[in-house]
Amino acid sequence: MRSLLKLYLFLSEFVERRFFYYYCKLSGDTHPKNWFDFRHRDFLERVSPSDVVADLGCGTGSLARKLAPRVHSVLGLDLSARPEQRGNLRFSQVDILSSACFELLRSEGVNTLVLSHVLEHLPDPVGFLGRLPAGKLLVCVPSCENWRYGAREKLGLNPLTDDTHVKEYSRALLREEVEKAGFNVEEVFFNGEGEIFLRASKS
Amino acid sequence: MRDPLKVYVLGGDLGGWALDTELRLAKQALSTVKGVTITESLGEADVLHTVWPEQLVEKESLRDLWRGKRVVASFSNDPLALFERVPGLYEAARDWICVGQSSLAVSGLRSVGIPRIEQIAYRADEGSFYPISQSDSRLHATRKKLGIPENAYVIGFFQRDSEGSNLSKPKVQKAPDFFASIMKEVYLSHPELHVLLAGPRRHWLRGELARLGIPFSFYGECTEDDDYPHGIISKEEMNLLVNCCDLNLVTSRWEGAPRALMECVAAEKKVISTPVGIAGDLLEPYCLFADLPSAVTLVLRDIRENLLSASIAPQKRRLEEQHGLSAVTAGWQTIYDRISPPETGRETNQKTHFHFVTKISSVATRIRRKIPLFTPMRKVAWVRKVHEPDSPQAQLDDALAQELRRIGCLTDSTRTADILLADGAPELVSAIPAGARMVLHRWGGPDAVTDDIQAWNGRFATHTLFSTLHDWVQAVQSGFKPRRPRIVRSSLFLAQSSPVETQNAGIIAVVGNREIPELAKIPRLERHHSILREGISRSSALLLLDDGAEARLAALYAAHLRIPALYPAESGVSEICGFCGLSYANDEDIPARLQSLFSHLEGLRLTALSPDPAETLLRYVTGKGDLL
Repeated sequence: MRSLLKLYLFLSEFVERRFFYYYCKLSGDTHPKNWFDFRHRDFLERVSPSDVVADLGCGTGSLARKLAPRVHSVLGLDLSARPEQRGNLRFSQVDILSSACFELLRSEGVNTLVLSHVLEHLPDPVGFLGRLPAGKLLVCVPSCENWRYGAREKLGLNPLTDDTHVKEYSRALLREEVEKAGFNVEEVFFNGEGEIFLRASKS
Repeated sequence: MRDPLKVYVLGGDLGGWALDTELRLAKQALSTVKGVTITESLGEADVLHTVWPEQLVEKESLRDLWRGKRVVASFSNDPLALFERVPGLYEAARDWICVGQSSLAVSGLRSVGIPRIEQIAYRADEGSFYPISQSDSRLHATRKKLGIPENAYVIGFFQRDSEGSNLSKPKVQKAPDFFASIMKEVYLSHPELHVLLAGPRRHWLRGELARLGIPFSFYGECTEDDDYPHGIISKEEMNLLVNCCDLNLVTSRWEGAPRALMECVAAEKKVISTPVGIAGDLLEPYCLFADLPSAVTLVLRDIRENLLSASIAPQKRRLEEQHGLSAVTAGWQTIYDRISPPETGRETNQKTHFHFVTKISSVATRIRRKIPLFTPMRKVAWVRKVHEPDSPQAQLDDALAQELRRIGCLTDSTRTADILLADGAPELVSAIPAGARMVLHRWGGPDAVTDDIQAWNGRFATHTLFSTLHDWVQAVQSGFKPRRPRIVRSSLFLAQSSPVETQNAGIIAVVGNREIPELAKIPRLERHHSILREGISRSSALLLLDDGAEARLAALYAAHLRIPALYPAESGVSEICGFCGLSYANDEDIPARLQSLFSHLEGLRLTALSPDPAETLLRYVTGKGDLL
């Protein structure tokens, strides 16, 4: 029966991933998880009009666009971003691990850092967080505190939900890494999608 | 009585350089070894004897030929320098009988764990070089023809000094820049100096000596174009020129021999050298110099006191004892006596199989490489440590990432990548997935090597990348077992950041935290890279107190800004600073060496050699053929 469970977990993961990959590719639509605000709500609720926000690893920029009306300005940074400026929203094509990115954060006077599904891709998250400028930090990462992750790991399957993830987080691990990088953690909780959300600050 | 071993001797380059002499002399020596017959057929050879080991690895057509055969590799250049420059040579050499031709070469081979090492001295080219009486009319005629003044002290430099690919660049190995700086300082104290040059590809040094206003003569036709091979001169002419000189200089950064040393000693002429190749075995200890001040002192003392004349007789004796045909043949005899004869039954099948497989695989490889479909770009994922923004490590990493991305081989997925480039930092070990096919482990230095990293390197790494030879040797000495070690030297990508104005005001920058009473009043530079860089740019000299990461960054900045450094001997920084600085063995030496450094600043600056960033990137991106 264990083998059957293993097969089920493997296939369900495989099919879901493949399905949404081709769905998005063929329809030109985004993943349904981006239709709603479950993932973004917590970010939107924690910014204020005076914030100069940098969305590091902004991808297509859906979160940055939602943040723009609520803050002073938003800078979306990603290697795949198309450079453009519209009102207080600007996208810049830059490797978020490069010196150019850190230089940009300094020169733009960024005081709020948004990291939505970024840290799990980085081999050296503490090193990366440690180089960020002072200010407010809002982080969202996938959680490993769920039965699917645990079962896949127990059965010897790759527990990660994406091939590009280096790891997935527990609340304790996320808090530990953020604190190691010199931030004071103010809150950590599961969001509406079961992912981990964290707010911290560094002065 | 066993059957004689059939030995195929190869390695000449047919270019008229020293390798052809090596090949000719090796064939001569082996022809007198009992139990050995030299064969002209590679197929029937039991043993391949090469005087150019790197050729067996570099040349595609030869690469498969030696597999399955016994190889005796006689290193005609510094083995460590070759291991750095020729990917795959180290791995191949572990299966060969490696012959070092000097104590230095043998200790180099031993230091990186080569298992089968023998020492046999170079064979002197007897008869080609001999002393000519100073009253001989040929010498007078030659000196007159070359316009050398009667009372001039003549210094010969007969090493090739320009890069073949770009004649306006100095040949790094032969260090003509170092030679020019020595000449500049000697000339200031002794204007009756005259430099004699000869041979092809001497363009850079001719230009540099002219620029510095040092009188010189060139034997041959001065052309702007490449004069190789028609500029090669005969041994007879060379002997005449060596005899025309009062002193010969070898300033190389690394060498196998060089043969110039044996030639000068055979001609009973004075010669001084950097401690490379056979210099330590052949020359008197006081004929060696490692830096500018000691070279200048040696030359000036010889001009004033005829200091080096006492070295001629013992060196000649040593040459005859160690480098004569009988001594060298006896060495080869010992080695070939130990090589077991071939097993007769297996021989034919092996050879047929060998030829068939070699031919097929060689043709298949060539076809496959021509069709891009069969050689898709391999994907690289980088388990990268995030360095301080804008620091040299960060700049190097940014440039590397950019280059990997430009050629389209960088991927985000460590699980699906063909190659994993992994920084050797303890905190990154967990980010490396098990089962990766090819893992390039960037060695993070002695501080970063924990038990975890050692175990991980042994289990997963396919290549270990070091930034200096010193690191590699240190790693091996400390029990670390590198996998297919490669040297990828660090360099600066300063173009990406703001330029620095140098304001050398006769002050010294000190990097390191050790307490030295004599230097208590001099403030240390802070670790931050921008402070380091600015501090160094405002100084005339740099003092490095250790071999840590900051010291290496500081050394790179200093080399880039042409600022001489005083550095600990036998360290990684010594490979960065090289001749543009002085080394010290212990703290007590520092004050005296500093004084010496300050009195030779201008000369030392001439020898600054900043690692080329393009070369560094190339090593990563192509690994000269084998990394990606």
